[in-house]
Amino acid sequence: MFKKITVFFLILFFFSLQFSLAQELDGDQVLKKVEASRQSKSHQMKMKMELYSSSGEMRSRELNNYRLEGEIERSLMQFTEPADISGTSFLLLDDQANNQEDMYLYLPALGSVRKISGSQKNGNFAGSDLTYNDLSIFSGANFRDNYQAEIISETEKIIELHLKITDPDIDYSYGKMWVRKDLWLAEKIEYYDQQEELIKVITLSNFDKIDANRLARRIEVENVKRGSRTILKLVEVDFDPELDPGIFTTRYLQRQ
Amino acid sequence: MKNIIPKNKLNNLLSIAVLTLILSLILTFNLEAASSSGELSTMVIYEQELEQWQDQSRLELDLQQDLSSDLNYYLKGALTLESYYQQDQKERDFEFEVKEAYLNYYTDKIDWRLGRQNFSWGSSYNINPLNYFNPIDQGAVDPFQSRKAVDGIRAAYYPNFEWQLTGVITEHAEIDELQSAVQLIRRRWQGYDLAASVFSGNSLQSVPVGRNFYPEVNKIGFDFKGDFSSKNIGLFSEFVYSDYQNSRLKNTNELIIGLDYKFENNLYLLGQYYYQELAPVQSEANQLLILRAEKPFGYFHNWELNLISDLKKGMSVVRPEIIFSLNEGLDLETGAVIKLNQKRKSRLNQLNQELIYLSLSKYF
Repeated sequence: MFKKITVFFLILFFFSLQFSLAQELDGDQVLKKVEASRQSKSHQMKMKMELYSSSGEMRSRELNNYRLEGEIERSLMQFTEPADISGTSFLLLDDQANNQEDMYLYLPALGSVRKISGSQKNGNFAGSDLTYNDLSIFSGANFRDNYQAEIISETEKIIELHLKITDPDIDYSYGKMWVRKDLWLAEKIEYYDQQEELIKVITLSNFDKIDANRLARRIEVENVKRGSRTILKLVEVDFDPELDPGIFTTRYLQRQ
Repeated sequence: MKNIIPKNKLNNLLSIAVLTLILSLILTFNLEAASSSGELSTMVIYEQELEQWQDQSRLELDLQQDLSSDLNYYLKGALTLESYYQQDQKERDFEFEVKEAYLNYYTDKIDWRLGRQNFSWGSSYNINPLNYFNPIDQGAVDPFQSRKAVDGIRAAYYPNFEWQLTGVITEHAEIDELQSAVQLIRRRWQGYDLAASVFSGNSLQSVPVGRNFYPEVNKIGFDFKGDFSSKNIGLFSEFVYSDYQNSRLKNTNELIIGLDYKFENNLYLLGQYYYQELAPVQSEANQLLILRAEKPFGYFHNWELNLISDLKKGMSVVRPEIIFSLNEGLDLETGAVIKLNQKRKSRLNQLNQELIYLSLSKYF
């Protein structure tokens, strides 16, 4: 009898050990779980962007974003408001297998499509506090392409990660990410410069789940040094729509 | 000498045909379905050399309508009221101009555009020898940034994303002669977009061997744009060889090569070198260096600085400009054109007036 009880507890101990090991994720596995929040291979979004200067002045922009995954990642952004930038479109074609990225810009004033240099991604997107890399947080980022993560701390609800930058195109020194364990979504990201000073805080909120996709409907980006901030709001979203690959072409841009 | 009679634009059958067609379509279809936008601006200019004040009020309207999924039209008109003040004299000038008016028709593989239009061939900044059709607007504050639209037909054939073959037939901007060209584009080749083109027609600018002389010329052009180095520095170039059909003129080469880069702090820098041989036998080649910098400041505002140097004659033109965003869609713009080491024979001197300006623009 005693032997049977011992075997039973040993088996119980073995399974509980397996269970607790499964719960102990490392940083990169946490990022993988965050990436898995987005299952769609394509989307179309309507977004509103509010730009606030340090003195509180506000300007707003509205844009449509289309994205299609495949051998080449395709992304198209079209500004619809305000009048002075309406019609401006930006096409990004990222062929990661061949390490080739091509960007095209359509400016209504020129009436033509222009190839633009890759360095255009260095600056901020459309005068906001967002970089092109920050934008990918909304689009369903492949975090592991850009970061290596280590767990700093963990509570019942939140995992805090230290992000080591592995993508040379990202100019931050390092970052920190707070991940919600109930949703496996980031709720806050901080970026630090080479002097280890905090430069940017990204706060995600209004979480939602559409089909198998979890997402934040509001992203606030605060530029700590400049005192400015940008709020990006998701107005409409459609996951896995039937997107014609033809819209991700210079021909389509030219037709605007 | 041929081509000495400037063309009478009112008799331009093509533009009348296109405008009539567009107007009849506007009347046939529901105008309310058209989308419109525009700009209302007022500008005060002081021309230093002429000691003359000028004020210019302008209403620009864009009208666009999809008539079906594969047919649409675009109209851009400008109403300009200009006043000149010099000592006790005052002059007024009122002008309405159809700046662009064209129909687009899309088929499976070919996009057609018929009417008054601009072409933007060439990868370099503003100075585009590959733009065989639209002359620079010498009356504009920045002649290199403004080009006059011409009447013509463009057909662009797209067999796939990488390739584009475009055929163009236009009227010459100043004389009654047809111009034709074909351009082949290869996109995304090792990170570069490449283009080659041939042209047959007349020179875009008059050649100074006779008044209004636009000699017949055949041209071959090449251009490319792409990135180099791990920093993604933009590299672009244009080359045009011109074969003049006139024994008094020599054949010429034009070459532009340039770089551009945007830094993390949003500072954008561009530099390009322009080598231009001139057709008259005795004339020397032009060599220009163009530098441009622009950067946002105060979150919503922007400054720009353009420097054009005539390396042969030693003269430069500096164009500083500041654009303040006063409110949503309301901009206050101020700038100047300053000549340094002014040389009478330099082309820069002929094309540019020293001036300062202030303008207020509302976009709607």
